Amino acid sequence: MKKIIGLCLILAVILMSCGPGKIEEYSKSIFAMDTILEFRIYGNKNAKKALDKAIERVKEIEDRMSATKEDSDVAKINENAGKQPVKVHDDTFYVIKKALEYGKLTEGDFDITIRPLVELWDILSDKPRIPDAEEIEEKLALVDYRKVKLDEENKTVFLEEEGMGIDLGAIAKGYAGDEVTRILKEAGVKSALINLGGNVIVIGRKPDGSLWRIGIQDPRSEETGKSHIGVLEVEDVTIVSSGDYERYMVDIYEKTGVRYHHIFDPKTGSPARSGLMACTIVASSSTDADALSTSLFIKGKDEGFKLIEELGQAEAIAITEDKEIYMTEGLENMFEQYGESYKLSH
Amino acid sequence: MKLKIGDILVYIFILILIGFSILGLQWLGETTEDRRLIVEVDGEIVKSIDLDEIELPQDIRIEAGDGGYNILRIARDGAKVIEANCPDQVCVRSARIVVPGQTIVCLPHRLIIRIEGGGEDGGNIDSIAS
Repeated sequence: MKKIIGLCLILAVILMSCGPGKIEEYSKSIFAMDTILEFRIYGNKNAKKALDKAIERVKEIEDRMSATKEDSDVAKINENAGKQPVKVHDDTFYVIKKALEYGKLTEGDFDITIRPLVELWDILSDKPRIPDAEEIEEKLALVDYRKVKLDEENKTVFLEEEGMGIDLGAIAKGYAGDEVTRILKEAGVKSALINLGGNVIVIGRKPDGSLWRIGIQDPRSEETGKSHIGVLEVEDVTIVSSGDYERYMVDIYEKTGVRYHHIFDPKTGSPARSGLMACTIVASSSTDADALSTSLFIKGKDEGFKLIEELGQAEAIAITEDKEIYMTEGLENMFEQYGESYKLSH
Repeated sequence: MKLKIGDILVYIFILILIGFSILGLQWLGETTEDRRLIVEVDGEIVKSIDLDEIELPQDIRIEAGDGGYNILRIARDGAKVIEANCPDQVCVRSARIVVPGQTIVCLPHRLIIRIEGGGEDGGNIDSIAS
């Protein structure tokens, strides 16, 4: 009798592992938001549906917040700069409001009204060129986040001066990350890895119960031959990096070797030069991580770390041009260095 | 000693379980030692090349549909896009990729080129934040 019970137990275990609620891996890579979005989620059939829904949501966010897509909220706001307020979707309004909060928090280092400079430099055009000081001066006069006027009641956004423009490139991907996380969690997904063009989000732990191992991009992998400088072992967080290696041109014409990258300093009108090659933010909100990562890159290590420590919601890594790695205290136990090209400093 | 039918069934089940666990362990222990160059167009893998088997550097042409093409120069130690007829030429200006995890992307042609595998230590990661 005992043996029959034993047999039944064994059978039950086997059957349970292949029942209808079976946990499976669903992976998908798509092109959107000017980059590749990769999803790896673990769950049942609901999870698969949730993944499709999450991808739809990302595309919707892109359609509303892209600066280059015709008919996007952002394009309409920019077209009507100096003319009239534009009614926008609730999510666009939320993201702009959030961005302006970061403008205030960083004393203007994080500024979404940077668009005229992005267009002037046009780093990724066929024939990139370095604008002269006069041109930069002229566009800089149009950059001021305080000239973005929000109307809570009517959900409208107004840029006070003609020629102004906003660019949500430094925050919209973060917001998309939070939305994807929300949709997947609501559908009961307990384990997932999402990489939105470099912004990594992990839900829970890996299906085997271990922590996710996320590499931090080596900003000079061409020289070092390594893809990452180290690994963070994490669960339930979002990791966002910014750096001069993402989109850039090297000044080969003047042979100065200077890197002209895509993160502009609203105070100089040129690519930010704060002594950092790259930086990373680890936080629970991807919107915040995205905005903070750009802010840290522009502010530099000392000022940036000070801000992050004051806010107390995020941890950070900074890689300086002297090839030193700094990090906030909370990360020290999670970080494992890889390779010897950089010096870990405290 | 006499075996009852129940005993035999239990033993068979235990043997099957042991068999499956061995298979499972082998599957888990599988490593991707090969460094492979993977080329994807629109989410489909169109080329998968073992980098260690390349003798001499060579150029390969990837058709990306609608007359779009990218020419890759591949060698044992990496790959680079040397020519493409995409409007933005971002892929051509992208740095040569040499280590697992690195990618070159051509958005207009929906093309991804990446290196996978190469079981170096510390290479055991799930994703890269960049």
